[in-house]
Amino acid sequence: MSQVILTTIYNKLTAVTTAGTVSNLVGGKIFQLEGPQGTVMPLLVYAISNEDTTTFMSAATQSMHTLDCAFTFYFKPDSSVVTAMAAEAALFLLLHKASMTPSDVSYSTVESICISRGVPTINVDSIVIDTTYRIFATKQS
Amino acid sequence: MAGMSGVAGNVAMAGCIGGIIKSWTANFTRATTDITGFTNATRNRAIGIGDVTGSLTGSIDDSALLMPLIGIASTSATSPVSLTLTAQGGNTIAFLALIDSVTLGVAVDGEATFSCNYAIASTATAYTSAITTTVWA
Repeated sequence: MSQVILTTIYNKLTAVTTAGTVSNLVGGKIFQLEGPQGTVMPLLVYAISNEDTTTFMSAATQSMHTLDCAFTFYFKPDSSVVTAMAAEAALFLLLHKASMTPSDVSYSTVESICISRGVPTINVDSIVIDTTYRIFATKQS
Repeated sequence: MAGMSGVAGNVAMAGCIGGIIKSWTANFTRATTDITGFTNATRNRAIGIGDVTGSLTGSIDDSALLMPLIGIASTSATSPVSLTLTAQGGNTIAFLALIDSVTLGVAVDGEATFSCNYAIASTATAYTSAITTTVWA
């Protein structure tokens, strides 16, 4: 099921690419789990960090999935931290208290809230911001 | 004969609940009174009448009206509802019960859940008609 959620999130991230959006601020370089070797920053990598499935008794036709999705921004160390934070702010604007259209019809709802916006840090050769969102998805059997 | 899990469990409450349950419990109790005689070698006790209390937990479903969900439908506000507890298909316990407390829980970073406690409320004159079972009879 995580694949559906990852795709759903990707579709949300890339639906709008105008100036000031997440996709625009990372140059469209958005990757699941890890970026390709040698990718030039800035880029955004996201991955499911935790998943919990709630199942109901036999008459129920649905299950609920609660996932934590970690987003990590990487910017060049000579970038302005303001630029990195603008990308994080754009992500917050996009995904905090957001509803998404599931990429598979077996899911009826996908919603997200931010549970940690994170802070910019220097990681050797990049400016990094880790931020985490909680995803709620309802799957119909 | 086989052990069972709760995967195929369920709760049916006539006109009220069904399908969004995560767990149920049923606690069968009866009081006992010590009637040991002075010369008895061991304790002797008399049994009281049976009682059943328990709980249900689940998630609030947007397709169900909330009050019927928790057993307070307009038609059953003051009367017991027919409650059927299923451990798995064919293994059921059924009796009339009153919902005597309900807790709703909604958190912005989690599920919207409910739990309720019930107690048997039967006017039957025989235990076997007050509580009906299948397979476990």
